[in-house]
Amino acid sequence: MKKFVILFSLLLSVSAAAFADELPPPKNTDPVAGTLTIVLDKEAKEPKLLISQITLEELYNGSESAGLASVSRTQALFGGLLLSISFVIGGVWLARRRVRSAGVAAGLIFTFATGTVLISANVGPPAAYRSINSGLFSEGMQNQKYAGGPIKVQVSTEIADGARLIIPLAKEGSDSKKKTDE
Amino acid sequence: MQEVTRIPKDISREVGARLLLVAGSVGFCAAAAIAIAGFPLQASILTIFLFAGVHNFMEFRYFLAKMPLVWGRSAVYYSVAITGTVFLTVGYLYLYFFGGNWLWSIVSWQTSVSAWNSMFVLWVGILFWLRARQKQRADGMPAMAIAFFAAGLAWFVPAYWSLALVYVHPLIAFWFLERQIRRSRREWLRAYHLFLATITLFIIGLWAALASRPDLSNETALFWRIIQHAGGGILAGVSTHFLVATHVFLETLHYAAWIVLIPLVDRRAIPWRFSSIPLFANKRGYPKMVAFGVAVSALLVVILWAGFSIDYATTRDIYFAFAIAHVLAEFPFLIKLT
Repeated sequence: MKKFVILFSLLLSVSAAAFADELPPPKNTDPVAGTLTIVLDKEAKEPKLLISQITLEELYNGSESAGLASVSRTQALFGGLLLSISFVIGGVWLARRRVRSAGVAAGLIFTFATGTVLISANVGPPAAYRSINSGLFSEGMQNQKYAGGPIKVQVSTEIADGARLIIPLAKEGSDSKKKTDE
Repeated sequence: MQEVTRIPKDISREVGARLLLVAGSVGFCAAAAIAIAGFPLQASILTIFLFAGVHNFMEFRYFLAKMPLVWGRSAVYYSVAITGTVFLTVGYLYLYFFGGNWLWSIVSWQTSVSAWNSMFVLWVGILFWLRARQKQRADGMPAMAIAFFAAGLAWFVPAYWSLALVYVHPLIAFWFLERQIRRSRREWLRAYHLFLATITLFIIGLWAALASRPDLSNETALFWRIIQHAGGGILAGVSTHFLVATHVFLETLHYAAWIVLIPLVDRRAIPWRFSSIPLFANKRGYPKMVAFGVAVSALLVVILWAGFSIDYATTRDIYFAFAIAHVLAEFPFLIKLT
């Protein structure tokens, strides 16, 4: 028993020390205002986002808006599971009731239509806009309005303030060819 | 001949009572909306100070009158109701008092809040399902489907979901009142529905008057708490003047419903009528326990007033943490009335 108490106390003290090393979560305050510079660079091999140390600290200490807006994997998993169960129960109920009225049919069509819109909204942009490259500054982007892709994020001491986005400058003709292929 | 003259008199008296109910309620709403729109923060402090504890006492007294001595076929229903209320209250208090420290990341905090919200809504769904099983022509499956859907949403938008609960809770009292009027004063139902419709107009009026107003001052910790409670940190872009005023307006109506209207409709809810409490009046009841419970809840009202007088902000925090118990307790009794 004595050994157990000692071991338990030791474990507790180690746990406390481990937790003490954890950083506190960001507080709930307004997002940090900053500046973003976009640089088209011939020498760059990959898109890169440089963030100044000061801005990062400001973001870390000041903004929770990203945390509120984003959905973690656990949230998505449980949320999706519960919604699926809901649709299954609802479907079984409808099947059991053998409801064929126009109102219910209209409701179902509306649900599917809404779902389709949501799914369509989640479809990614064309290939040309699925990477960060200089093609984003083309006329086509005016209609697309959205583009994204993998990017390296790096905290930099080279820049004084804000953030700098470095984009590889594509070789002449390569972007337009890609779009023609689409 | 006497009968012929008495009936029109009774009818006119009844119509007069209904008109008085609508006019009185609408007049009260108008006065409350104007006062609250002018001084939302002050109104929040004052209404909670005066009526929060009293309305809890009235709710407890109402639930006592509604609790049957023998559960019979409802044994499972009440067991699930009480277990759920206790379990969810303890979980909520844990999150409230221990969830805010720095050991919790935003993700773990959101996950815990979503889990609590899901358990809460699934518990309500189960209560609806159990209630439907007791009624011959009811089907509990739609309730479960809706409960799972709402639980799913709680994971995707936990902050908005919790805020929705803050605004929906005051309206629960009106649902109670509706069910009670249906049972005991059915002739008032149309007048009551007319009154309910006017509440929407008052909220539209508040929006028209306050939506473009600048945000309220959050210079003190108490003001900041009141604004956050009304959704100031979540609904960015909406004037906090409007949010706080709307929340206080709905809370005021909630208090008025429990303290004045429900006892007016159901005489068994009048506090001093102990004879209407089955647990007290029945030979096999528990009169001492009931009297003790009522005395303790009355004492808590006084303690709450004292606490508000000494340290309003701290007492407010503690009150709203423990107040979740009464929010949860409302659901089993409400579902039982359906």
